[in-house]
Amino acid sequence: MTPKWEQGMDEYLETMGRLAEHGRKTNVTAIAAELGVAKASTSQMLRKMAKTGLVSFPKYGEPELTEKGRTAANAILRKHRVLHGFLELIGVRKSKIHAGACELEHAISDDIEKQIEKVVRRHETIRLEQLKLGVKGSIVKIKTDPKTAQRLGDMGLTEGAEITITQSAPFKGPLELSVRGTRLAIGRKLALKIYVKGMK
Amino acid sequence: MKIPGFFSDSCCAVKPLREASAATKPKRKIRIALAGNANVGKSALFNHLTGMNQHVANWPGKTVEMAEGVFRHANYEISVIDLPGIYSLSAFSKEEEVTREYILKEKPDVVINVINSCFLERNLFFTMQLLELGVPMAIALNQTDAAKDKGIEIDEKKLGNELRVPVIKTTALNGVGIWNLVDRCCEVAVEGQKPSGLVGKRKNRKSGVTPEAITKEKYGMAGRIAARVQKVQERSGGIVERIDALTTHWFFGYLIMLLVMGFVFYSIFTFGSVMSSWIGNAFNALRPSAGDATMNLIWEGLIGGFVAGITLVLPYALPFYLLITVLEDTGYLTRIAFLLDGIAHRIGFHGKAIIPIILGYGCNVPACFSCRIMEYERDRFITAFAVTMVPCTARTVVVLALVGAYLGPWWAIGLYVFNLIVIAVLAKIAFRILPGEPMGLIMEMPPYRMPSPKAVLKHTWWKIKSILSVVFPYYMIGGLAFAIAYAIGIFTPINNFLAPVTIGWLGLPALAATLLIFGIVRKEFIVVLPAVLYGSTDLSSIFSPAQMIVITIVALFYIPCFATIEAMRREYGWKRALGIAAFETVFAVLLGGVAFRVLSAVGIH
Repeated sequence: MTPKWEQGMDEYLETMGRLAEHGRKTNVTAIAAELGVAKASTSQMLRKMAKTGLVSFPKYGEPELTEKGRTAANAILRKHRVLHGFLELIGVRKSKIHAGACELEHAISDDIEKQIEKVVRRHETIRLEQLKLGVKGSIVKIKTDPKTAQRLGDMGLTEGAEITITQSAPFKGPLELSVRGTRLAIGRKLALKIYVKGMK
Repeated sequence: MKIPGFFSDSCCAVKPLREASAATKPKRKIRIALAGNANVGKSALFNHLTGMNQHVANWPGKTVEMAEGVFRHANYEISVIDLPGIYSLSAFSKEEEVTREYILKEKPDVVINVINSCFLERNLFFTMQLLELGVPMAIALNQTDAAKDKGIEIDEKKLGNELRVPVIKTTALNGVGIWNLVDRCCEVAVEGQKPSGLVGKRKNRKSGVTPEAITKEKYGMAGRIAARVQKVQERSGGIVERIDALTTHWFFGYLIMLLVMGFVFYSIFTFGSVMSSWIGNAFNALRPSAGDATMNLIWEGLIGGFVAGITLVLPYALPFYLLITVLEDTGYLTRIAFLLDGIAHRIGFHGKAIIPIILGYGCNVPACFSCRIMEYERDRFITAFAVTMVPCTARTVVVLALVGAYLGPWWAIGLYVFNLIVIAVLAKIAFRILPGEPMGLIMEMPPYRMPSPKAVLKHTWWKIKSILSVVFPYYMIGGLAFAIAYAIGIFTPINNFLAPVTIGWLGLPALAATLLIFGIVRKEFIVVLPAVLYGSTDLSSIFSPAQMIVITIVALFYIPCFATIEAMRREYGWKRALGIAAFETVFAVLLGGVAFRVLSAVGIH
């Protein structure tokens, strides 16, 4: 009889995955502490999970993820991150993002995850340099001294401004941008200090 | 990009003089200031208003020049000042500071904010700042025809309502709407209307409001207003945009640049040498009969200075600046700055510094003034320092007459390359030594346009004018000093006194001291004087090949000519001008001595 996959096992799997990712031991104490549950119930749950083949739990040892378990854990972690970015993007309050992602991560299929990831990617904050030629972006942050920021601002490069790279000079030369209907050339070093996100 | 310093930009236009019909009525004086971004056609408007009735004004204590002019309209005597083209009033550059100061202290009766209709949003940002100053204003919605071509249609009534100032559509190039604009300005001036409301009171009072946030807010407002008053039909880029893309292309851009600059320099030198000898011969026909050394000297000293000026300006400087101005007015120089910014950054310059350096090959004097296109004092000064070492036409004469004529063109080209490398190294060191962060390039790339012949001629004239007004007097005075020095017979004592340097260190003949000293007046004296003093035109009888190379190297780098020192003084004060002169002299002598030793080590004597 194949053991039933219970609601909540995902949480354990995810926690173990995260612990393993940080190079920490996946022992009962650590897992229980992470999840904020009693050691006894943790132990009990892990015993059940061991029957699914995702976790190995020797009688006199500590639980560990199997190869299969690691893959499954990573998938959940990945979904969590994608959802985290997605919730951030759609304006969910910061304090609620984590809990929301934890709930949704179990509910979405791999296909949906991929679709969401695409959207998130497009809106990711990147350096201006990384914006593809001819793709519209919007300025998220300008990290320079106030004087330079003022000067960039005077020319129309302010947070929120829509921006397109129209030409890029070689030899670490400047970028030609289209912003607010005008064309500007910005030195590469300055361009490195401008962060944008893609737009659709 | 406009090159400032020649007091930029003007193009003469015929002014329809509107004299008052009722001459008995008392005339009222009105002062108008033109303010706006660069490349909006401010100066074209100014020229249309004032015609030839204009002069250059220099704001006290600042090296910012502005054009002033007077004209009459109806019952008014109207004086106009063309403020520098700027993007903001944040007092970030000298130009911005001067504009702000002028508007607040001189309190013109009306400020005309000239706007390029093609770039409404960006221009409105500056308008917001002007509105904040609370001065009587009118807006000239300029270049409406160009905007129409781009598919931009602006509702000027709506814009006027939004901003609560009169808005008039104009096309400064052909004068459409200009007199309508002046009429409205007179009304504003008479009524003393001040702009009401809008951004008015939102100044930096609240604590915690950063300047960036204010900028963002103003741009936000500019964007919203622009969206409300203009209709834009997106039109795909025409031939102009394709040319633009090609000239900034990572490969073809550089190829085109090399071809263009190669053509400029090649045509100047071929044309120049023909013209120069032609003019020289014409003057020589007037020269007193040879043989009389004293007469020769007086001729060379007094009249020669004038002739040299003519043979420098007419054949070389004039066509050079004409071609460069065409490139400038089309917008191509901006593209060169764009292409070379990456390479220039290795040294510490940014791309715009390339423009004064290119100008320096004509004459260092206008090139020094043109360093004003750099926003930061540090960049300006180091660029000017580099410019003083760029071989101008006078130094080119030395290179060609000595090394070029006797050792072959490859040696001459080699020296030019060597010169560029040394300039790059010295500039890099200067950037290390002088405090301050290297600034990145922020430059508008105005769309290519067809330059108007009138504007080109006038821009060229401004550049040549600085040569005539600064270089000519020094040529004359220097020539006179030379004649007197010869008359009192101090050449030999000078030669003897400096023999340890010239003979001992540089390995040159003793007379090199005299040549180099008078070379400060005019660099080409170095190759002209031997003929005067010895009546010999065969320079190889005076210099060995190694000596030719050494004296040419010294001539390339040592003390800039008097006219250039004067230009440096005007821009940076005595201390720095003389400091550079002293440094370059010591450096050139050291370099010359090293070159002499290296040359003899490799067997060139």
